[in-house]
Amino acid sequence: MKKRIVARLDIKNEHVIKGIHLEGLRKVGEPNAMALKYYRQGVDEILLIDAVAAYYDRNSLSHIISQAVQDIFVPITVGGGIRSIEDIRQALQAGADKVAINTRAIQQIDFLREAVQVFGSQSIIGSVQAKKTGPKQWQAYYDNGREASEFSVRRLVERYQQAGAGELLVTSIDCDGTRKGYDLALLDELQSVVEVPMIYCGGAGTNEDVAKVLAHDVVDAAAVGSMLHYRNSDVGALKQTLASHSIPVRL
Amino acid sequence: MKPCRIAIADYGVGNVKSIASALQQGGAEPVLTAEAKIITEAEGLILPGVGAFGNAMQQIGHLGLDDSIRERVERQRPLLGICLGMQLLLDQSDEFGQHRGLGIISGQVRRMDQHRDKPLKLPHIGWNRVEPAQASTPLLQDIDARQDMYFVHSFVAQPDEPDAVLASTQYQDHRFASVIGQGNSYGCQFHPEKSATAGLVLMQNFINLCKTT
Repeated sequence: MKKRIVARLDIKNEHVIKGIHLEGLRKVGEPNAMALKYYRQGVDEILLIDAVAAYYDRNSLSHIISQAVQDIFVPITVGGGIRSIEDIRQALQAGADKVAINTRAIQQIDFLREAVQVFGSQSIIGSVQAKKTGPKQWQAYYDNGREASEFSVRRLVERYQQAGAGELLVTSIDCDGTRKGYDLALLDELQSVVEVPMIYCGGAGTNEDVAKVLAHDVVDAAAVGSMLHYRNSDVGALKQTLASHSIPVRL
Repeated sequence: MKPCRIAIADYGVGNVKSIASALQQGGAEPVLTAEAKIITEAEGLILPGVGAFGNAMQQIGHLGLDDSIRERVERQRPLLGICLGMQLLLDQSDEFGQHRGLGIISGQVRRMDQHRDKPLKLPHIGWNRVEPAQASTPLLQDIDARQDMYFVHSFVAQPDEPDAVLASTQYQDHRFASVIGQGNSYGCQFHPEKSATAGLVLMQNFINLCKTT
């Protein structure tokens, strides 16, 4: 089994944007061109997040997905503004393989449970936005990191798993966009609760950062954004580094 | 020359866009259809599949596609089942109760962690190695044992005949059939249409098989 590299593209009005701590958004390119570039570099998966879906209460990435599946032959996950069974159906019909659900699943865990029943656990990712609130304490946030939920990260992970989520996407709000490395302390917390495959996200700046996080058993996949967008590295060089650290990757 | 026409059986189970794109890239003409005649007579047939076994079989029965698929198999025309589409080729599955499959390849579909003490992280999601079991099968031509394919599943096919297992894959301490075949009917547990270059090679092999059969 290989560890996966997931290219994360946050999208606002037809542009890939990137902020810090999920805020202060700067345009970095065109979604389909960037997704295709990372695919050709050998990325294992593409994650498309509608960064402003919360404002409009809907996900607007269908046309980007439809175009992407014409020449990108790796799994595509879409997130942001997934509020109904119909939203999920639309994303999957456009060509997405999986959807990541956050806000609505926090408000109403039965929504995630129903989504799993309708589409199967393999299509449903429970998304967790983690913010450090004290020593060894992380709270789950929603609405793209703007609102605090009533759940600790640990509790939310348990709820998602009980409801049947096939995978988890955990983003550290504190580390997002900083390029200073992943939140490794949060991983210790997650280690004892996570039972399904997990994509870990937020803070990758160097190839070594990614190697460090993938060395943890609990992490199946590392998401990278800024690091690729700002050309600190490319997927090929990243995977070579990982292989040299004896981390199993697809080359 | 007329392009090779490959039917994608349309029984409403999720995403078939990438399968169509992969066929187009390989020079074939994909046709998404539930029409019995095309299902039986197209040069190739793909059974796609994401979702639950029982639901898919119910749809296939409802559309009356099971007889068209079996007739096709009797006439030795090429067929490729992908993921759930592969599992449908077997006799029966335990997923959410007992369900009968198409019975094209004899065997069962079982959850991967059945009859084991150690827990197994499921679903099995990600890239894993596909190791061909025997010397040569046209479907796996030019795919060497070091190539990874993309998997996403919790259930696996267990064919009765060892010869029906064309390739296998190791997940933790569990080995399962990742490519099966009998005559011109094939199935792969992974998604070739999501497996980058290696997957496209397999799709091309299938297209070539359809052209020459």
